Amino acid sequence: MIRTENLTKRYRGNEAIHGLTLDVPEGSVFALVGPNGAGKSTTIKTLMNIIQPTGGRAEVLGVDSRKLGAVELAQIGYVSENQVLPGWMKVGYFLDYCKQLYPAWNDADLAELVRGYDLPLGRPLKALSRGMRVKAALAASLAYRPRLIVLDEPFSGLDVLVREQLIESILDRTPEATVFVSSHDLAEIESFASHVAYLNEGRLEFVEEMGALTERFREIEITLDQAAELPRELPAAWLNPEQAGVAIRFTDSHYDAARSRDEIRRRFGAVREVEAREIPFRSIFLALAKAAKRSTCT
Amino acid sequence: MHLVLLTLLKDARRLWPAVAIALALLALLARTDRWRADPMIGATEGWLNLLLPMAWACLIALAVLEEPLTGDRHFWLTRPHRWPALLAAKVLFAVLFVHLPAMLADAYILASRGFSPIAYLPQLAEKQLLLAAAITLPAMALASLVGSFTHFMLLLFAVAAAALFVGGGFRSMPLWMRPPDHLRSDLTILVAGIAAIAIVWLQYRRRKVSVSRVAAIAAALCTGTLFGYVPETFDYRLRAALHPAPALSLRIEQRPLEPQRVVGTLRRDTVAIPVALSGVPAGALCHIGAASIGLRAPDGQSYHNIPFPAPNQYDKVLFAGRVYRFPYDSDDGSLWLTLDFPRSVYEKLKNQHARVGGQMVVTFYRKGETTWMPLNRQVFASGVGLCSAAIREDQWTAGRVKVLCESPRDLPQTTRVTLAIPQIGREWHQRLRDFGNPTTGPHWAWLSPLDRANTFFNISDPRTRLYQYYMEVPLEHVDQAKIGITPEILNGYTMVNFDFPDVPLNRYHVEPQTNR
Repeated sequence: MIRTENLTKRYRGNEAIHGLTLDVPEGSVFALVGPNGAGKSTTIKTLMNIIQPTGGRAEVLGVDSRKLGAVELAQIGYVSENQVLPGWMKVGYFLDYCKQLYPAWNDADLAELVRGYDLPLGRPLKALSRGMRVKAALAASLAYRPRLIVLDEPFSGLDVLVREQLIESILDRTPEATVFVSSHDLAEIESFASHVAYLNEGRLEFVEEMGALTERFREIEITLDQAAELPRELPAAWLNPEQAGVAIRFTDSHYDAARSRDEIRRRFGAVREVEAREIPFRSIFLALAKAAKRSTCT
Repeated sequence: MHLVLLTLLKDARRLWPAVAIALALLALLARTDRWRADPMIGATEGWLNLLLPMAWACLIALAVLEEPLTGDRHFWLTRPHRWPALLAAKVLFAVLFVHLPAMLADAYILASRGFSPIAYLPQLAEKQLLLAAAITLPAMALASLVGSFTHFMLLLFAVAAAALFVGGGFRSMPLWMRPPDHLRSDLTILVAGIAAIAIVWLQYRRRKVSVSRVAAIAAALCTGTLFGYVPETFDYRLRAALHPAPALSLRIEQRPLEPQRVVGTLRRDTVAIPVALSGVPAGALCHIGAASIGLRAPDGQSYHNIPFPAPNQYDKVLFAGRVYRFPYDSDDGSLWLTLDFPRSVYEKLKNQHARVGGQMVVTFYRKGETTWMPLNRQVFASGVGLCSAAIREDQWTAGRVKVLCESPRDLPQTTRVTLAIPQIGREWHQRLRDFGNPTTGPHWAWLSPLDRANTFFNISDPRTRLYQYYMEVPLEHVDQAKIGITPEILNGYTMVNFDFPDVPLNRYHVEPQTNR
């Protein structure tokens, strides 16, 4: 559905995306996560042919992103937090105007979305709250049953109820539609993404299925028999190691029960206790971000 | 077509207040123009001639900026618009709300002034092309390069200021003395129009903002340079190449100074050198055009002329020179090369022998057919247009005979007007356009579909005048006057180079008009 190969975008010497290679499977809900400034929006704008890549290539719906035209855009629903909507248009006119652009527009779907989102058709877009504006944009992007839904930080700043409502309506379109969503809000991603890619300073740190990701990350807490110095050389997969007396904590990014236990024993000898806890995606993200920061600082 | 109409209707729905303002300004201008029987325009029409193009430019920019071509956050970018449909919608908007109303207004003015709009359809269409090249396309191009209307307005004012700065010359010249300078302005508009088309195409096709901005800056520099810094002689050189006339030379002629013919300039010292042209075929008629003149003193100091300095700059000009025939309206008057200096400059030079050289333009013409008409009538003068003559009374004189000609085509650069009273065997001669425009503020009626020109013959009333000035028409005979309109048809141009290496300036000195 989306494929990139060494995709690069430079702005006056600053590299916003560096050699990004991705493959978004059809029917997936693919989350592109990363801290602010990681290059998520730049990636999406490049995929949508809003900006041109400096190097590499990207394919969207089987078409080179540089050649993405009206035919492909008619099958893509795009909503971004920064999108400038025609504020003077009343919601009703806005939806009616969009309807004329899409041959596959479905009035029944729209009616359902309008009802579900409780959209005020007679009010200008500029007079709506941010949440309502996102709802209007989303309604205008879902009513033609797009094959690909691209969302650039769509839920930031929205209250939980609105967010849940929007996520639900997007998930209703899957698996017929593929969803590509960027976010730095990990809680919301965790609830519905099937795949995740982590972007940091324009570089792809990892990309994998959500289940596999949560499976391989564990927070490890070791209790030693007696206090000992933390070894200097630890495996690269052990992120953010910390010591407090006889307790040592780190995040194992390649957890495998037997192998990890052997490695601990090899490093620390006999230990009193080893506890491996599952961690939420938010903690995985924080551990990765922290580790990346440490490696940059050192 | 569906998308074109969709976008057009959306823009019209959004921009109807701006459209209404532009239409109101156009209606006001058309009404003012329709009643004007004079080439001079009033302040209202002058300002309307400035405001209306600005309003059109803004209207077009607003339409373009409904789907801005710069920036990466606009809603429309990710919607299935096809660029040709989007561009067509904007062009259609300009045609429907700028060009069509403008053409209808022009047709209304022509019909009101006695011309058939159908007969002059090519001229009306040509004017719309001019508007497109000068306003619509550049406005579209500018708007396609900016992200907001505020930026567009700032850019528009910058471009307008630059245009005023570059094109600010020639204001002080009597109209008929102005060089026939259409070529240079036409070329400028052509370059601007082509550059605008390229930028608009590039932006709608590819949205290559940086490349387009560089192209726009290059085009602006190119048009500015073309208009502002290409010498007037370029126009003449091209005309001379296209319409060659016999080669001529200029020589100093030994003849006495005729003080009644060559008048010293107020508060300046004038050197009037009697000159003559050699090589003019017998019976050929010619005008002397603009000249560029240089003067080099023996000490190496050089001066270059400003042929027609602006009145408020006159005292600052070190050297003004020109070649002209006296009397102006004669075919066989004597030629004078005059050099005007401030007293301080002349004092330094007066006892020296200077080198004077330069280049001047001679235009050859033939007289067209003369059309005669009585006073208070309107006739179609062949080769000119619709002409009328009537007595106009005013508070300062005993009245004047005003001759007005107008045409949807360009009036000839020079047209002779003769007032003849056969009963007393006398004739008076003038030229159309020999009265400048003294109005303050904008006074260029460039949006008018009619080229208008007039001249006046002063009338003397023996009841209030003790003596009659020879240039004035006696009131008691004016009812018997008939007016002859004779166009001069330009048919050749020659550039004449001259070089007088040893000119004793004080020998040709003319005393200033007043004591200092």
